[in-house]
Amino acid sequence: MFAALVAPSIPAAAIIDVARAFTPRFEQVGPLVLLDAGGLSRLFGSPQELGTHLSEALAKHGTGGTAPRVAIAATQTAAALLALGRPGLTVIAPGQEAKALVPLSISVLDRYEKLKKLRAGDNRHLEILTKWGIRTLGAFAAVAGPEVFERLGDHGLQWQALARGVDARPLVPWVDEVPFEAALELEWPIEGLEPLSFLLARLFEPLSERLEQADRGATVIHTSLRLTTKRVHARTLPLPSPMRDPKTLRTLVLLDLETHPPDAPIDTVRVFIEPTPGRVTQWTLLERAQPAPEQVSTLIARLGALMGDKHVGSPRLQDTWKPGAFAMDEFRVVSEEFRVKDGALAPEVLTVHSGLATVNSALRRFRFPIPTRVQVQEGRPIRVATDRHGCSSGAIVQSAGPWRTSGEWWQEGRAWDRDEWDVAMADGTIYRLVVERGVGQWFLEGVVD
Amino acid sequence: MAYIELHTSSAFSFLRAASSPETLVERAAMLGYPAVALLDRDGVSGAPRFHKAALAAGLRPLIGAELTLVTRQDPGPGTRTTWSLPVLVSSQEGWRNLCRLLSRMKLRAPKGEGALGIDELDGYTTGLIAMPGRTLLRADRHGVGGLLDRIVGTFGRANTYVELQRHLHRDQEDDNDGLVCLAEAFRVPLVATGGVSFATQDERPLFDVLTAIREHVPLHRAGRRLAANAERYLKPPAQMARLFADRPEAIHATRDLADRLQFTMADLGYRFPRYPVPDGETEISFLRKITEVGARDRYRPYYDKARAQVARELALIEKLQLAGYFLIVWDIVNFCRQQDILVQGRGSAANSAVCYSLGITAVDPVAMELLFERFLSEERGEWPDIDLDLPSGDRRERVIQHVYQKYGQHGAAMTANVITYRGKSAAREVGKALDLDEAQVDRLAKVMHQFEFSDPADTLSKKLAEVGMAGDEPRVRHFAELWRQLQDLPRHLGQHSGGMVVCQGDLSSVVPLENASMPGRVVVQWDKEDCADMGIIKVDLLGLGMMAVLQDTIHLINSRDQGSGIRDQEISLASIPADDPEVYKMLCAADTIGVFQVESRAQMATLPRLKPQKFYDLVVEVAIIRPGPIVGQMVHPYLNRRAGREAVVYDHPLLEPILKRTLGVPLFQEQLLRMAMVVANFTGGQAEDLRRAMGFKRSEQRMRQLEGLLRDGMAKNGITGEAADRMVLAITSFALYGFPESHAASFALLAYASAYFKAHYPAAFYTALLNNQPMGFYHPATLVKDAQRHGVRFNPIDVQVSDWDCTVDPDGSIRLGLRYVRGLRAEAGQRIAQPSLAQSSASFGAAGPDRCPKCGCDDPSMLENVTGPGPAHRSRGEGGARDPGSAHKFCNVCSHEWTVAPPRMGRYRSVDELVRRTGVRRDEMVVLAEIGALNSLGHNRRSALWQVERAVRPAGELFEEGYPEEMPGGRDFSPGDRHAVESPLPDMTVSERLVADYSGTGLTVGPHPLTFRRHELSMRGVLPAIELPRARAGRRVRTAGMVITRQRPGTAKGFVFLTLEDETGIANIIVRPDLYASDRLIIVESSFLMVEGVLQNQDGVISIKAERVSQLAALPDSAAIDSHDFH
Repeated sequence: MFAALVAPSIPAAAIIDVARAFTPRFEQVGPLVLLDAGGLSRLFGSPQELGTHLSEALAKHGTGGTAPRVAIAATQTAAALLALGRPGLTVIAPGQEAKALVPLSISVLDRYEKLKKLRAGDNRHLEILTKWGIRTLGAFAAVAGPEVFERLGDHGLQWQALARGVDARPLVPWVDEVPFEAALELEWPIEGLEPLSFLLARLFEPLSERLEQADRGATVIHTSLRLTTKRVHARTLPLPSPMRDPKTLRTLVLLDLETHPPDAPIDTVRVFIEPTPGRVTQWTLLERAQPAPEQVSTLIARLGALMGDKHVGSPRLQDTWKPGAFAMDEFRVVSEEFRVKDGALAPEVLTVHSGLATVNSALRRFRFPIPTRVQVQEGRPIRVATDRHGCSSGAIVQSAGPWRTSGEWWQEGRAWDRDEWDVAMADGTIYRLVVERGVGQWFLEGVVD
Repeated sequence: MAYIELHTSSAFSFLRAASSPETLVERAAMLGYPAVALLDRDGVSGAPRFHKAALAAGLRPLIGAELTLVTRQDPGPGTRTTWSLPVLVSSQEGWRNLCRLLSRMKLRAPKGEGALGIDELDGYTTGLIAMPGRTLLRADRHGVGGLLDRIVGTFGRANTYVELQRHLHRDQEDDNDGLVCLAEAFRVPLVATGGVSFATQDERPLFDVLTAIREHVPLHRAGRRLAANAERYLKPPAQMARLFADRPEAIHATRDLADRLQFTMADLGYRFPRYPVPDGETEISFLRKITEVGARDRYRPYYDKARAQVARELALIEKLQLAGYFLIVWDIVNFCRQQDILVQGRGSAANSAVCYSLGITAVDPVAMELLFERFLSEERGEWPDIDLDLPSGDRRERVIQHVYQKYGQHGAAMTANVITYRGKSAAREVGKALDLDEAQVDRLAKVMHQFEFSDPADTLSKKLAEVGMAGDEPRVRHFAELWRQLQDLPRHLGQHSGGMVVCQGDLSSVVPLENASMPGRVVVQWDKEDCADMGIIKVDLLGLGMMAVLQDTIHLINSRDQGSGIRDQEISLASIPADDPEVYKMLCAADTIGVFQVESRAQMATLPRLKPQKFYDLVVEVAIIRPGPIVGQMVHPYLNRRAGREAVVYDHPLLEPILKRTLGVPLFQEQLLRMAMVVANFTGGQAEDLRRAMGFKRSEQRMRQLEGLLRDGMAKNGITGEAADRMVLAITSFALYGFPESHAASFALLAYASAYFKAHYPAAFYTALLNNQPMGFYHPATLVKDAQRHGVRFNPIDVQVSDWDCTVDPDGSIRLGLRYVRGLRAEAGQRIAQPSLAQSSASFGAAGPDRCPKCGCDDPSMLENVTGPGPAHRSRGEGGARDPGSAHKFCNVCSHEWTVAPPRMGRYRSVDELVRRTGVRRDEMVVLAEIGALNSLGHNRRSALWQVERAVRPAGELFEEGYPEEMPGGRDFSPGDRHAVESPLPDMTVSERLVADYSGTGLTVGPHPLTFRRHELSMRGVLPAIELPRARAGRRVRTAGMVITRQRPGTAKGFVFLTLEDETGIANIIVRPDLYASDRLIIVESSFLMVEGVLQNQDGVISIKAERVSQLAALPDSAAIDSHDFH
């Protein structure tokens, strides 16, 4: 005997609670919950009484809207179809399933199958049956099986079996998934991160144990700290790779909180872990040993806390004419990344035109360009003056340029338009001078080694 | 100044440059260049406009192209590297070579692609000067200097210059050093160029956007594919001299080189093909003779006025040396006649008595007093323009292919159509480049589209604010500016709908040819305006759906055999009687669904008011419902004057002879020309210029000049003030959108013919209409219902008898064709109907009940079978001996004997056989079953569906073997029908059949959906359409129907016009803007509507001014058609 519950106006969790109150053997199929009602008669009486109990239990959670539907039948398929297709409580005596299903619309079958995800790929059975003028399960059930098979194939026969209330597979009971969540309410508020370290250790150790038992790894850690000001300080920390080492998890959260500390003493600490199935990895003998993800993540987090999030990672040259433009990518331990590809990370080579000879050399770029005073004659710089210690000033003996680039005119605040000059000073130093066109401000951008 | 710019690219390099040829010329003229060269990528599409603009600006236009070359001629996968070689044309021979090279490159490659191998340049370099540049250094396969060596060998040392460009790049400067060394090594001169991609630095953003469009990436991801800086602009000569101060020889070389370029596009060597005239004749003498013959045939009698007109035209044709042109067009028309392809000249050619005499046009310009100057004018110095209307589809294609064959693949081509960026396309592309989200782009596209046609005083920021976008936001600002700049820039070359160019000899040496997207079509790189400017003549071969309908109708009428041995007299367009009263009666009643040009809602609303009584009225009717007369407020005055409600007055006595025929109201373009000539003393050519200036957006300035001339001329004649304003309004409003009288007359002929066929041969006419869909104003479902209201009977689609096209059955009813089965592939449908497959011996049905064709007697006791040889007792017809092989019947009532048609033979015996022999897919079979096309195989629709599902799914031999034994009842099945078991499925209900008809064919030959609701609707006081004319005007009425059209014309101030169809006819509904705003969803989305409102009757035009609109519930929307909506 099986019972089926459908209650669109009641939250799914509430329906499951109701089901759990009657039996641990129940299955959720979308908005439909199927209960194995076998043996419940001693607790709840006859099927009719069981149905009434179920309806009443659902009604307690009701917030108006569509009334809950309950159906009890000898097969789960019949119970499910009746619950989907008829309002209120339906109780069918054993052996009467097929008869009870006769008037139900054929669309109920389609809906049930979609819920159960029985179909593989595209299925046009509902469309075909509609074209055939078959409107009810009874009409479909009445068609001879071989003829259905001839026209709709094996799957058509399965459909017809469902239309007759025959179960395609046994019930798969629900197994509770306990969330990876832990919290501590403190008797006295704590201030600062050091005491928090101990609390986090207490929270993460059992969580890590559970993660290991369930063969899961943490991918995201949500930390929420309720403060004495009644506000909640929440942080979300995505992890670069799944991990479950409690110390690492604690360190990462602490480092994150160091960068974004709470502004008041803490009342309650709560952590929630988003898990992911564990992976089996096979190390190879042919590649260099890499640091453990935990170590790398901790290091990155430490560096991030020290330098700021945006200043840690792997530099990548950008595809742009803007000189020296690069972006920071997330740091990943991939040995290939360190290789120089197509000269992308090769040192910039400067060609200085000196009339007869050309000199290839490397440009050493200043971390911040040095503002400079430049005297210009007939559009060419002839004298440089800078106050920076170690940089030479004086007449320019030779110059090449201007080398002009401009771009990103469509980005407010990011457009650039500048000229570069490669200039040789009397002492043999070769500088790269840059002038922002339109502004007229000159800079020393680098020096040639 | 020594420098001349020898390397600019225009937007005709398609997404590789940002300025129009005119902009480049304007900038060059402003900078003081005496000459400038245009080198577009792999084409010369911009050359005519560049040439014209440069001459107008006083510059010497130099022409060339950048040729895409490939390092290997037969490149392996991944080894194909291309580079471009700029070449300049120095002589006419050079031009011919360039055209040949470009044609060779383009004709063997898919559209938009193509490259030449360097070996292919051999023999085609005379008159061309090469300017290889940086690519010389990247030609790795040729080794250092190898490529330059090769180019020098091909072009000659004297015709090779090494090109230096300076765009302030480090790498480029390195390369320039290398190029200088190479040039010195090979003793080749250097030449400096700007490598110009845009006229001014302001256009650099647009250039970047075009690059992003070409690379299919937004700007922020385009990276180094974008320009490094804005230096590719046209610089002043002095600046170029400064830039190359270290290479003065490269600057001086530009002038030396420019001096060598003596080619001009003024004479491209184009010659119109010579018509092969008989010995002893010249083209003009031959033309005179055939015109004389034709005129005597056309004009009966050949009266003096016609004779004088023909003589005048021939004299001008001789003077302008156009006889060959007329003969070639005459030849094409003759080909059409020989191939039984209906053809009719239209447009200004209809103004020519010579064209009429030669049979090119069908309108008599002498009788209609049409203005010959509109067609041909010595003053304009242009080639005449003859447009030929042909039946659209295969027949037009046959004519085009005939022209290709006759003049050779390189002797004829279609003119191109330069597709330009316009409102919506520009908005979408710019939006994508700026990475705006899709919804934003859609909104902007909509706004920009409206903006394009709105008042110029309306600011863009106001428009943007209307849709909630901040005009001052940087990205929106960029968008607006770029959108404006992108307007009218060429996007790609399309194919003109019908313009064909033919040439004496090799057309590909006059203008480059390339493949069109359509297989078998070749296009020239110029559009029709450019061809005209360059003196290349085109003939327009235009496809017209109604021509196909008329031809099919005539064919159906002439081939119809009534089964009684009585064949109707053959009919042709020429044999249609003029001024048939039935036709005018039908036109006056606005019963014009399916009739050419007068079937639209606006036309139907005008017909009862205009009440056409003769052919000229129809000409007026065709011309009057056009934006020109409507905007110019000519319609109501004309109709009022015609009805006698308004006096016929003329703005000036001089206008009376011109406007007399149209009651003082100008309606035709010719009248505009004559008005200008009479009141403003314009010459014929000037008047034509006025029309042309108003026809093109880019000539606004010219239009203002001419308007000034017009007013000055009128002032001299004493016409000022309001009268002058009225005339200017009339001229400017419909100069743009009005019909020429000759054109209207040509169309009116077709309208008359279609109306005649509708009135007298409705079955053939509707069959032809249905076979040539989509065309016209109405959905096929509406045509079917209209035909049924005219007494035409329809037979449903049947796989046993239906052809692919609709046909007329022997009993005069229309048999729907398989082409109406939705989702049925044409090849599958044709296989079903293919005669070679229709050899099954299955017979089905009888030939119908016995009935005497003479007296109609169907009493079996009076009809007897007559067999055996012997004299026939025919009461009419041929008499003679009876054919012993045929069955005969004899009527004892009227003593008539006739041959009985043999029982109709079916094509297929079963569904299985149909599937097996035709390979029709499951989905197609399902539709055929649903619409009842398989019923003649012994099924109803449901049982056919039941059989189809099995027949298309082979069960396998084993299952088939065991099948009969498993069946209930153990019936015995013969091999042919072993599967023909009874279906367990219920029959379709009437409404299910209706839904199946509409979903499967888009129409129904059964009752109209409203029929099923009529009783209930009558109870609710809903009037059928047929009763509306009988109701009193001003009365509040209700009507209901299926929406067949929705219109919201721009000129109607927000009013919406609906047409509802019920089983009795159609009803016109007018919806006020406020009602439309409040019930928009119902009006736009409901297939069936009920409307309540006030009945209006204006001169017999019935409409309902809606006050309430509601959806007509309980009618499945799937039992409806997609209305034709015009918003």
